[in-house]
Amino acid sequence: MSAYDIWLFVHVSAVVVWLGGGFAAQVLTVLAKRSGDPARVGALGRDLGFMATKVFLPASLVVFATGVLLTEDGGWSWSEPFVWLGVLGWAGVSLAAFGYVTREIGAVGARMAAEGPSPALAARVGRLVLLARIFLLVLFAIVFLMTVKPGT
Amino acid sequence: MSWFELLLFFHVAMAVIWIGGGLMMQLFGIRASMSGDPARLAALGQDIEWIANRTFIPASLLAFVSGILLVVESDFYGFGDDWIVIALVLYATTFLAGILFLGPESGRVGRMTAEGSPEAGPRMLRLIFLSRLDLVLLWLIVYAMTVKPDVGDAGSLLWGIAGALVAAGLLYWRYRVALAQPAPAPSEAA
Repeated sequence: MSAYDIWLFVHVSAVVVWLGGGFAAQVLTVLAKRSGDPARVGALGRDLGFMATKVFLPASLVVFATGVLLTEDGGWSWSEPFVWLGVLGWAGVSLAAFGYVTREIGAVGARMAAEGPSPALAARVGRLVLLARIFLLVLFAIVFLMTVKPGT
Repeated sequence: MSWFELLLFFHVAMAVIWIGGGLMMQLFGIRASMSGDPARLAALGQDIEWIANRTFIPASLLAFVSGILLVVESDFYGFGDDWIVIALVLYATTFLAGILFLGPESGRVGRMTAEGSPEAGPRMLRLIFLSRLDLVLLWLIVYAMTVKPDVGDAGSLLWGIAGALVAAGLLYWRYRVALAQPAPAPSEAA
C-alpha cells in the first residue's frame, strides 16, 4: 500500500461525501417542497446551511488537497486537461456554492419558517435549488474527467 | 474514449450517489434527533424509505452491474482478484441488509414515531446504529476499490480491517451512550 493509494482513498471518500451528499440534499429538497409544509422547508433550509459549512466545505477542501497530493505523488503533469479542468471546476463551484448559495439557503429557510411561504421566497428558493443542481452537474462532469482522463 | 472508461465513470457516479447519499441520511438523522420533534423524525423516516427505494437501491444495483461489466471488459482485472472478491462479499452483505431490513425498518419507525409509540425512540436509535455500521461496510468497499488490497499485502488488508473495527467500536459506544440518555426536549436551535 503506497501513499498514492491512501491519497486516492481519501480523495474518493471526500468526493463521495460532497457529491453524494449534494445529490441526496437535492432529493430531500424535492420531497420537502412537495409536502407543502413551510416548517419542513424551513427546517431543511437550516439543515442544508449547516451541512454546507460543516460537511460539504471541509469535504471540498479535502478533495482539493488530496488532488494536489495525487498529482504530485502520481507524477501527473499540471498541464493535463483533467487536472487543470478539475481544479478550475472545483474553484468555480466552491466559490459560488460556499460564498453565496449556502448563506442564501440558510437565510431563506429561516425566513420561511418565521414568516411562512410567499411567492417571492418560493422564487428565491427555486433559483437557489436550480443553481445547486447546476453545480452538482459541473461536479459530476469533473468526475467524468477524472475517470476518463481525456488526452492521456 | 473506451467502453471501459465510460463504465468506470458510471460505476463511480452510482457509488457516489449510493454511499454519499447514505451518509447524508445519517447526518440529517442526527439533526432530526437533536430537534426532539417527533413530526420531523417521522417525516425523515418516511423520506429515507422513499429515497432508499427510488435512489439508493437502484444506484447500488447499477454500481454492481457496471462493476461486473468493468471486470468483464478489463484486460487487467479478473473475478479472482482479492479486492474484487472482497468488494463483492461486502456488497452482497450491505445490499441484502438494506433491502431486507434497513429500508423497511425505516418506514416502520417513521410510522411508530408519528403514532407516538414509546418503542419508537429505542428503535430509531438501533436503526441509526445499524445504518451507520452499514455505512462502514460501504466505505470498506471504497477502500477495496481504491487501495485494491490483496492477500499478499497484509498491510493493506489489516489497515482496512483496523479502520473498520475502530469505526464500528466508536459507533457502538455512541449507540450505548444515546440509549442511556433521556430523549431531548424540542430545541429552537435545531
